[in-house]
Order: sequence, then C-alpha cells, then structure tokens
Amino acid sequence: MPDLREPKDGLIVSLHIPKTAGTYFGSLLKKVHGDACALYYGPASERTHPALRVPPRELTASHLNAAAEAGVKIVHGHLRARYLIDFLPRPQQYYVVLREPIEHTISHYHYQLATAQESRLGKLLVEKNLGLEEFLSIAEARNHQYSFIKPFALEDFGFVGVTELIDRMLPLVGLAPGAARSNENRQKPMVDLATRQALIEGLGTDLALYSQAMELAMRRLGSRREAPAHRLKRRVMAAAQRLVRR
Amino acid sequence: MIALRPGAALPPVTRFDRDGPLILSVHVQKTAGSRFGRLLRHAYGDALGLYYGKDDPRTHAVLRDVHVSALDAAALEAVAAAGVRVLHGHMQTRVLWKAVPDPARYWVWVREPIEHTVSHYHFIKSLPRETGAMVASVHDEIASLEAFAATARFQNLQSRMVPPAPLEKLGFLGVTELFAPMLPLLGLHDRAMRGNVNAAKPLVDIATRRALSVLLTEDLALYSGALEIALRRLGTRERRRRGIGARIARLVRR
Repeated sequence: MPDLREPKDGLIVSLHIPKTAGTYFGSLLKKVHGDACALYYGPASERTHPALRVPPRELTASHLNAAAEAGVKIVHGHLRARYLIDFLPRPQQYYVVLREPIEHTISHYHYQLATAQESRLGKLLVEKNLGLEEFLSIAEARNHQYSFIKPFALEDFGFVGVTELIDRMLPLVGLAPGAARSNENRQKPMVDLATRQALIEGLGTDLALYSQAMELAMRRLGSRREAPAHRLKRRVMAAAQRLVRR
Repeated sequence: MIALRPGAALPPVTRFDRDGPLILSVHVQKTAGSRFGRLLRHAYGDALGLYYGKDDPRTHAVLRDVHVSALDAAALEAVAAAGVRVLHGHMQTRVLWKAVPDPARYWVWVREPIEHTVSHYHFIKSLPRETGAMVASVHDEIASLEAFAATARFQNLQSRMVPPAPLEKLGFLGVTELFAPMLPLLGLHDRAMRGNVNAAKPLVDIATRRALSVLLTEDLALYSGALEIALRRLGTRERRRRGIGARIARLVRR
C-alpha cells in the first residue's frame, strides 16, 4: 500500500497525449497555477521541472515527492499512467484530454513528418517513406491515446477532457479559455473519407475511449439535460401510464 | 470525397433565404433534430415545413398524403409554392437527391456514431411496441445493442442520410456535440427548448463500444470528417493563437 501521507499523494498528474491540445491546456495550467504547475517533457527538455529530469520509466516516488516539497501541485507533460501507477495508484489524481482518434492519427502523422529529425518515430517514417495508412503498421502509432491512460478506466479519472470541446470544458478544472501557446500543425491537409475509414482498423480502442469520453463530457457539461417542461411532461406521462396499468 | 489543401477556404454555409430555393434539413434520428426543428420554427415561422411521414400531424399539410419514398420534385415544388423555405424532418436523402442533386441545399447534423447507436437503440426500446411495425420488430427480433448495430436498417445510418457529395459542399453539416457553437453559422442561437433526450440511457462500457466501432466504420469516418470541417468553420484553433505573443511568433516564422 502506498503511504498516503507522502507529499506526492496530493499531486495532480495531467497526461499530455501529443496532438490533443495539450500544449494549450498546459499553458493555461501554468497561467493559473504558476510555479505550482510543473512540466515534464523528458530529461533533456528545459521545460521539464528540475526535480523531474529523468527518463519517464525512471520516475519514482522520490522524484514526485521532491517536486511536491518544492511547491508543485500539478505535473503536466508527456507521461504515461503505467509508469506512475505503482506510486500514484489513484486514477482520480489524473487528468487527460482525448481527441477524435482518426483526425488525431492524421495530425500525429503530419507532426512526426514535420519534426522528423527530433524523434525516433519521425525518423522511421522518413527512412521507410511511410504514408498515412502505413503509419498504423507501427505498433506505437496504433491506439496511441490508449497507451497513455492504460490500465486506468476512463470514468475513474479526475478529469477527462475532449479536445474538440476543450474551451467549454476548461471551467470544470478552474481554467478559462484564452490565447495561449499551441503547437497546431497548419500544414495538415483534409483527408478523404475512404482514407479515414481505412485507418479505423488500427484505432478500435481509441475510438471506443473517445466515444465514452465524449459522452462523459456531454453529461458533465449538461448538454443532454432535458428542458424542464419536457422533463415534467415525461414524468406526468409515466405516472399516467402506471395508473392505467393498475 | 474531401481533399482540401492546407489553408484552402471552405465553401460558405447555405443560410436561410426567404427568396431562395427550398432547403432540405434531413433529421437523422437521435442527433438533436427535434430541438433543431423547434429552433427553426421559432426563427422562421411558417417558412418552415415539417415532414415526419404522411400520417403524422406534424407533417406540412401539402405533404400529408405523400409517402416518404414519393418526396419527388413535384412534391417539393408544391411545398415550396406554399411558402416553405426549409423542409425539416425524417426524410430519405437517396429519395430527395433524385429531385435535388445539389449538396448546397442540404442541412444535416451528425453525432458521434457509437453513442448515436447506443442512443437510437435505447430510444426505440423505450417506445411502446404498439408505436409501429419497426418498433415492434426491434422489440421482438433484436436482443442486444450489438445485434441492433449489425442490422442493415440501423448500421451506418448517418452515412446514408448525408448526400453523396464532398462533405464541405453541403449547405450545412452540423455536429451534435457542437450544437450550440455551430448554430450561429446558420444565424441561429440556442434556446432552452425541449428535445427528445433519453434520460434513462446507460453509460456503455469500453468493450461494447469497441465491438460497435467495427460495425460503424462508415459513420466513424463521416463523423471524423464532419468534426474537422466544423472545427475549421468555427475557427476554434485560430482563437488560441490570437494573443500578442502568438502574433509575434507568427511574424518571426514568416
């Protein structure tokens, strides 16, 4: 059992899945929380908090305790839940934002191409001259969003955002929309329906997760709430039907 | 179907025009179409005509005896001649397309396909068996959500309701989850109006959603394209870059 008195046990970890508006979300977290929000983008990144500058698989309770003792309340960055679960086991401590998986894959592919010299995956795409549909032949690219959240169940997360609704969802975590840093790829073309359909085979879990994330978002935002008059009418009709049955 | 180049402008949305040709607003079941219909009535009054089948009292008087498969050019001309400029309801696009093969004259809303199927299934199951033959057959012959999604009549339903044209050329392609933000594209605004929300619908687990995704590939591709077009039209991403710092960064990049 983890020691719940440790400083890290009060931390929130915001899992930034690449190409889900995570840079925007992180900038807004920084704007509101200042130094209490630490970033994690690997050991070599200047953005990474000094207490956390180790490879993601080498992060330990000690690193998070050190950050928490330095005043950090939220850690946001390219982190996978499975690397943290041993010492941060409560899914309620985690935030995540998911994006429509087909467009996410298209965006991820073009981003990797545009920054090919900076990543192993990008170099692989260029070396093998892989097209968009072939991108999902790489295991790492398939169900990419799921790889960040497993083994947690989505509905147990402290916050599940949806990229396409992000500005409406920000108030749920005490943030407000605004101009902020974003690394949107404006070179990304629109992709035809046949290509989109061809990508689905490698995205079954991500599509299922996104569907649930969107439904959770709709419920939390109250978008499916019935108008009061309709609710009253439905209840009256149901009561009348019960009376008739008797 | 869609192949816009980066930065290419989307064609404009077709807005209501009292002097324009009849717009066909295809109401796909469980996509907030009832709510949209009420907003249209509030905004356009008698210039809105409804079609919910020949026996439905909501259907415009001119079309009251017209079967859904007989909504041809003559029927549409007749309702337009009666002053209707938007015809909204449960119509079949493949029938309408024969009379109106112009995508700019269609308005359609689409919804996230897995939840759409979940919603459609539970909605039909919540109706009394006596509602009609279709409802009775679902009650009697379809035992599960997965079986419902695999039934030809309900599988990839949304794709069949969208005109066979590039998505960006449709007069309006709405996304239910972006209902309120998208209405201003048509000059409309959301109001507290009733829809036919199914309040009893359960939250479906990931394994079931995954099984449904295999059956709904056409609708999933359609929704993905519709969502991307919606975000481009709404300029959602543009708004994030409007800060002074972002403007300077853009200038440096140039």
